[in-house]
Amino acid sequence: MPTTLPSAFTQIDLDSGALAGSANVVHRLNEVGDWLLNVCRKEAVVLATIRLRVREDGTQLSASVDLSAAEIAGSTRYLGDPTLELTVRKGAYLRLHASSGQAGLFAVLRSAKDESVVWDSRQLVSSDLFVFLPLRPGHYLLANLITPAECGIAVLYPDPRDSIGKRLKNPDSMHLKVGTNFPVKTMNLMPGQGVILDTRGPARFTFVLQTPDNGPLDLADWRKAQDQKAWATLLAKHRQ
Amino acid sequence: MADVFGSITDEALNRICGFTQVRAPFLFNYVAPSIVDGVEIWLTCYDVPDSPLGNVPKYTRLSTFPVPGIPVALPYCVQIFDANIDFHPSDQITLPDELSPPLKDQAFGLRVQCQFGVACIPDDVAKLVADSRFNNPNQDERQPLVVPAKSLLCFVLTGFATGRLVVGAAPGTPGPVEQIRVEVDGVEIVDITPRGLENAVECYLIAVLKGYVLPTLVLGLQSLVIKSLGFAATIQLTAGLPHNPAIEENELRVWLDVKVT
Amino acid sequence: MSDVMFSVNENTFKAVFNKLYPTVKLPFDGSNALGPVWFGVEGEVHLENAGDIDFEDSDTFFLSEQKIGWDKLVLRLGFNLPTITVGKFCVLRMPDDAPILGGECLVEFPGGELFGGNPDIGPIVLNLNAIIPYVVSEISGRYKIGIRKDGDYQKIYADVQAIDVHPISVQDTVGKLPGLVQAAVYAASYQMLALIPYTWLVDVVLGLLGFPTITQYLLNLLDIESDMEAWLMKVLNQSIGVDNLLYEQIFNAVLSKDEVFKIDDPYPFVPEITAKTADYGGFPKPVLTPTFKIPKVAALVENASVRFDEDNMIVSFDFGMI
Repeated sequence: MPTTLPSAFTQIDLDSGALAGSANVVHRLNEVGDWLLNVCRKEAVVLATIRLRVREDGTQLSASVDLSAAEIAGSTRYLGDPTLELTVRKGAYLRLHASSGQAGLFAVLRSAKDESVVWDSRQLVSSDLFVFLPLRPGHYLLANLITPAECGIAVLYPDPRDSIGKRLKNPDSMHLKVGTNFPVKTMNLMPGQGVILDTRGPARFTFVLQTPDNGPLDLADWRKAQDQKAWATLLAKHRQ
Repeated sequence: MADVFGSITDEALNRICGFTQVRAPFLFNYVAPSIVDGVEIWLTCYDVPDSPLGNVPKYTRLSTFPVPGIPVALPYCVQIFDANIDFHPSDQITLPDELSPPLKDQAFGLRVQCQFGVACIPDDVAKLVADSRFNNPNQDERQPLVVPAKSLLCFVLTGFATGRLVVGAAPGTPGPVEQIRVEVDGVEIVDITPRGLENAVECYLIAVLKGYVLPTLVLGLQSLVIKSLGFAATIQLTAGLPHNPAIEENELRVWLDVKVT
Repeated sequence: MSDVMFSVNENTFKAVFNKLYPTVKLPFDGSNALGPVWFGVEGEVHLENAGDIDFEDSDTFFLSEQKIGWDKLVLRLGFNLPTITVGKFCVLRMPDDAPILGGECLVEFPGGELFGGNPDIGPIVLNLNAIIPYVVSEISGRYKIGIRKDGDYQKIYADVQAIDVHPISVQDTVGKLPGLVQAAVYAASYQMLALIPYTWLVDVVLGLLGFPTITQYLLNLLDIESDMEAWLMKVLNQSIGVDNLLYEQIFNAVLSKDEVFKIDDPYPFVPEITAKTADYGGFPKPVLTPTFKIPKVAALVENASVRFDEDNMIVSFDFGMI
């Protein structure tokens, strides 16, 4: 029975302001106090609220919040209970992502005292991180909707003939500091090579497929020939 | 090397014989009955007890034997009351001198004691014959009248025999056991005179031995062996042995080659 | 000395012994998982003739090279695909010289997990009935001979003491096995492809696994390197332990065997016969029917014993009075 693929493999286009697939946003909690983290859908409907306590002596240095857990009833994932409370240390990192579902989710951080908005994930601020994992080969446009800035990214097709016998190892992730502009105009990535964008100003990043790359046309035939060769070798050995 | 071997001791055979005598008396008591007033009377020399096995007959019927010259038939009986067999070396019976004891190699000895009883021919036999013809005019004149005896004249006979087993044809022919023949070396009946009568009786005894008693014995042993094995097989006497079947060490022995079917 | 003795040599004993084996089919099945692959087997065997019987000391004999005839051999296999994690890395790491958690990863990007729920491929069925004629297996066993009274018989039993099932050997001289294995691997690869709906993702996964094709990935999981027969034998003997499965079936079948030989007890000297009443006289009670049954004359079998003496099985017994 085929299982459903995780959204990291199926969600191709990514948006830091509408989290889905492999898109992650990391925000640092530098102020001590009590906060409310609203989990929201596109139409700004609040699906859940998490109480965040930031303390000088808090023990947790990071927290991970799956925004889609609030949307799925009966989920047993971490933070399945929408009214969960979290206590973290001052300076802790908050990682937001949405592991399932297609509707983009975002989070709004409010003060617990007066509910004033302190941070909105639809507009990242300096030192926030946008982390994602390009998988599907093709040409993409990486853009900052707010500045605006653009960068062309080519996710290369994993042709085994290029590196026969070698594993496509998990290459090192790309770590980019992004100001008004991207530091490069174009970039080549391997599928499964992670990208960390470290923004220095307001940002809303989108990563959109422009042209899919379905690989060399002769690759399928090459694989068939490989199989035939493998069987022929086996049979030859067998007959000895 | 033979596939299968079987043997039985003479002592066991003698025990079996005594055992059987009590339980199947009809095998040891042969009677041609007398007819008195139309009723059969089974005259014997001595009483035979009932078999413990139930309603078992005591006697096997014999035909009366005719008297030369007189159209009558005589009731008689033969009752075997002791039979013993002895395989070489001799230890069960003592042979009379006429049979040159001791028992030879591969020979067996047999001693049988029986009572013979014969009805006496009455004085008025002629009148009896005439009476019966008058009463039954349609009766075939040549059929003899059974003498209406009420008792028998009895006498004991002891007979000895020695012999050996001989295989007739070469082993390998079908039905090898049928090829086993009994050769009688000598027969001696004690205390019969004149000599001619003794010879006649001895002749009769030889025939009984060769025709009935001994083949049954050998066949019995073969069937004991194969039947006991409980499977279907074709059998042959093993070739190349000095004697097969053999009579030695107080046993009757047989070696067979077997093909399991 | 006993009243009666008879002996049977090794060859005849073997011929009779062989006839006794039940020709029933003995079914068995079993399975085992070894890492990402699991194997199941379903088979049926029957016992054929013994190769050789050797009489040992006084009451045991050794049976060697008794062939096992195969009637059915079906191999099932399946794969528990190992989870493949793509793109997991550390986003933020504590500096090495930090007073606490130095060098530890603070924020980790989990990446994506393929086959995270451990999906199964299979069961793929390899019907090996076509190569049954080339599957060779044998047993050897040690038996004890004994005689005991059972109902109206003295029965000579061969009681099994130990059985050894030899490892199975496959001699596929005709070369049918590779075709069967190939078909199975193709079936498995179709199923695996069904789990990965995008061709580009298949290629990404293959790149990560380090195999040019799914077929070769599966062959690697199955650990088929060269000799298919050697592989099959390893699967049957080591992975599944067919010899152990067979052992139990055969042991029980052999245990329930009938006696090897049997002797009537009581032993009839004069068999029961139906005879004509007119031929006999002196009935204790008159018989009114024209024929009647004369009961058999039989004696008890006593002191029955059976033993081996060099190359012969020797049975002896005495007759006793009832």
